[in-house]
Amino acid sequence: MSLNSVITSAASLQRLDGVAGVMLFKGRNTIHRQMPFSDMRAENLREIINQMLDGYRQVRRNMRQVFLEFDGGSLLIVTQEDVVMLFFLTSRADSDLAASAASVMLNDHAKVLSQASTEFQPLAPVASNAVEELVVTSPRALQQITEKAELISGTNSNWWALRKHIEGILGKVMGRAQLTMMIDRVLAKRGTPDPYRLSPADTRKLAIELIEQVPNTTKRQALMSELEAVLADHKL
Amino acid sequence: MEPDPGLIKMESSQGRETLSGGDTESAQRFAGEVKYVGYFSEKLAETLGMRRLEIAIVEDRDGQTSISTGEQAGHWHGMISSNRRSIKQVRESLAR
Repeated sequence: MSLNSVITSAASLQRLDGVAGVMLFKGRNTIHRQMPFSDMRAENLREIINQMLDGYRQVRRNMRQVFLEFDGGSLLIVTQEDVVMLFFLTSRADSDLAASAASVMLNDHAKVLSQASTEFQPLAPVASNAVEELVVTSPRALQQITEKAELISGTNSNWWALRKHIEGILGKVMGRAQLTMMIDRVLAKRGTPDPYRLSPADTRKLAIELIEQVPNTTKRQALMSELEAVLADHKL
Repeated sequence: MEPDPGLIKMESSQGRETLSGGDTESAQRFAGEVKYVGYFSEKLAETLGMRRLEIAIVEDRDGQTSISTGEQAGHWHGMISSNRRSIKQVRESLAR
């Protein structure tokens, strides 16, 4: 299966403000590389990051992202399964936007990427019309990715703050441990392992579903009216 | 502004480590993360031609570990959290 669409998307992320370089790889297979230094240095970087992520895999840590800020720039590693999207960022970059955009890109191309080899593959030679293709298609691809990324950024922070409010509301009728277990149980039951990725409408449904777990009708109604005020604050 | 209550500090000097803040389990996990990230960030900094790591935020499906280096070498502080916060929020939190 062709990786061309993935490469176009990865290349378009370079256009985000403050992004000095990007690299997409899976194991020893560098799918796309556009770094502001030599290929050898970029490959060294890939090797070290693979070693680091391998160590986490060995202890069964399911990594999502690693942000490393050095004195002269930052590395942002966004990972999904064995695939890694690496950014080299300047201080101007919006790291959260880059992380969300990479996450969207990895999700959008998950099927193709899952079939990509982890073994070394020579990078495709740059075609004579490649520059033209990037100039024409990248801004659109970037706009599509960042629009989705901004949506995800918004829902992420919403859920974290919202959960705290819901815990506060439920804490009036049940203990801390009980409500934490109940929330986890509801998330598992409805197949929502990552509520940060829910749309605003689905986040609202989830919040209501959590309050509906309270068995006492009078208490539930009182808590539901409190929830409505919280949801309004969160524009949900 | 008050510092976060979950703040963990680690000082390493002449082969001795001192941990303070957080519960025992979090402090041990924090120390492990500092060593692991520290080891690889040294290699990465060398490759990138940079001098030192200033902030690290490691995020897995279960939570987030944030690490900030202190003014002195071998001094680290940060947090282990089960909540997922944005990089911006974590940086602000570490700067307090």
